[in-house]
Amino acid sequence: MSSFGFSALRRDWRSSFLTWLTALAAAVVFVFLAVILAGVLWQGKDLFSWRFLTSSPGENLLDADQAGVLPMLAGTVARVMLMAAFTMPAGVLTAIYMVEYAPSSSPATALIRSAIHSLAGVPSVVIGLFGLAFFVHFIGGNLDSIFRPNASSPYWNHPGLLWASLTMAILTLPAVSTAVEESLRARSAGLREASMALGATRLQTVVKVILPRALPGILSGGLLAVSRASGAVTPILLTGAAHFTTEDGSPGGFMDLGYYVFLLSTQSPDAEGARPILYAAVMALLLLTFPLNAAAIFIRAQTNTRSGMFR
Amino acid sequence: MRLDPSIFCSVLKKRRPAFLVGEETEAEILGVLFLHIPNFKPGLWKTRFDTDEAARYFYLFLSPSMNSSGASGDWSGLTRNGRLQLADWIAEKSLFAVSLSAVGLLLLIFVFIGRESIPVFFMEATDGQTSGANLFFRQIMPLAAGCLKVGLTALVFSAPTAIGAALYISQLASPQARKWGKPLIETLAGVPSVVLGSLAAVALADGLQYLFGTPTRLNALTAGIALGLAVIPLIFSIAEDALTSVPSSFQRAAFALGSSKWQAAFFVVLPAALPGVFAAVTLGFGRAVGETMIVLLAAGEVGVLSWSLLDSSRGIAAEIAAELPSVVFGGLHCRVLFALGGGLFAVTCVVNFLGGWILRRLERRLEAAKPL
Repeated sequence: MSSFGFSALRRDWRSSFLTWLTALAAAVVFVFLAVILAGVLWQGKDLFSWRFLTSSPGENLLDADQAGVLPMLAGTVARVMLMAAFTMPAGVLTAIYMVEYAPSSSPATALIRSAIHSLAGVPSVVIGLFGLAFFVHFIGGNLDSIFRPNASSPYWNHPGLLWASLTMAILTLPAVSTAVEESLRARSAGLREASMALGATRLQTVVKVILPRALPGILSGGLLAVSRASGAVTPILLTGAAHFTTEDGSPGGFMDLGYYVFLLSTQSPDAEGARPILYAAVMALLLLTFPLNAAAIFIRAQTNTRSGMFR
Repeated sequence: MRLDPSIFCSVLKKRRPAFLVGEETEAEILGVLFLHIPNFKPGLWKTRFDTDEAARYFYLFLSPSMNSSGASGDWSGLTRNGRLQLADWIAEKSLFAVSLSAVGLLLLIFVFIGRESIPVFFMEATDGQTSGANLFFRQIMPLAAGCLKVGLTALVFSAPTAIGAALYISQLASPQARKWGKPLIETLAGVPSVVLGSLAAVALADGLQYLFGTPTRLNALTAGIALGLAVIPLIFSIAEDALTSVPSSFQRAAFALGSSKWQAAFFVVLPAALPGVFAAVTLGFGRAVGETMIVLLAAGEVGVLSWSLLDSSRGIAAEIAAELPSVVFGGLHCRVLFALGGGLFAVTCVVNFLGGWILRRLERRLEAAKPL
């Protein structure tokens, strides 16, 4: 009897200890998140203002008095919008095919599925290298030699906004298609069978029954992609970002907020002086990416129970 | 002829099938259904079935009574008319073509990275002193070591945190905490890695130097901690999914045998989901090894080949991002960087494939363990 009481006591002690340990792990993550956000807000609030967002920087990018992020903000928004125009149709259509049409046990389906998974795991620097080799030099070089054979300076064969957006679209394609696929599966299990049993074709089912219900999922996937892409710097470092916007035409290099943060934290000769601008720029970047990402995640949490990675 | 009643469970459960076709009213359809299902029992509703099967049954046995045109057993009755069928066929084929773009992109990545990197092994430097292969192998050692050092530091810090949090959120927390906790942790992924890297380089580095008195501000430890923060949401998300997908019958069986909540979580649910947790760590490692910005910003300027975490170190991805903007495309140095990228690509592919394979196997096993 006494041994039973002892083991029950010990079990109780271990129980609360281990439960608290796991709760502590969750709390640590929250604390880190809060510290990052609060730190950036605290350090960045001095310089961050409406003027900072809506003015161009002076000659010296590191001059705190003339700091402004308008061209960077515009570059980031432009490349993200262009990227969404490429990645959203491809991602949504792939997801529709995988959920509604793909035969469940065919080699082609398995191939597409594993390709999407592998694409999701390709490091962003490798995507950037590919963008440089394929878009900038292969496609751009061929466009130049076909349309401008006599030009002295390259026009397409040059890092730029279009190539950076296309590269970024490859980076976000798997995220979009996985998110939309999840939501298509979660939202409409019974309705699909009902529609099919009532004689609708698969196309009718998709257009009239599935898609209207999958809109939150599509929105969430799009927000996720836009948020990820506006924070990703590595691919555009290789395929398009520039210190200053060039005047020589549309496909030229562009300025970018994330790239600006990168520049400020590495190549500043005056590290202490650049810090206020760095924090303000980080704050602007976070204000762009963080709410979008949070919105995407909370929409997803509202609509389906499981998130995208485990399938 | 007997019908499988399960086919129509979804029609009946949704209660509003009429708008789907726009013609038959609810009452008519329900009437038709009950008329044709002699042994209709609600208890049979949960039988599994698939959509093709349902559509076939419907057209073979039910549609003749609903629209007089379709002959019983006639497959051409599956669509109202040829136009719809054709549209469906075209949609299927074009969607298939779009879906293949993922495969095509992956192949293109292989081809173009290979095209730029493989010639390096047959090139000589312009001064004739070294060969490209020599240059490649001289570079890859300290860089791969840097990758591993920073990546493993990140895992040591992030894996226990993420797994603990996943266990708490999915098994031990109250339903309210679970509902808000998971999305909240996943929002950490909304902090871009360039932000984590620059904050680590600017703020965290000072703190760590003060604590440990390291000779260099930027080192593998600083980058490892920042990288851990970037990896936590990924590991957490996959591990939490794996833990949640363990059938609740496991937990209930453990409760029935007298175990407490945490005993069920630690000794029943966690072991059942262990492959998924392992896969989460594997995929986290794949992400950590391929990460560029954090390592570039926070791990230091030079790749030193050493065991110490407090030395400056540089990863493969960081080296590529740092050097590539300043080299001539197609030159020897550029091709060496492409070859480094190709190596990184191969390693992450293997790691991610391993993680995905473990996940799929686990999912099949848990699917089989689910009660019908």
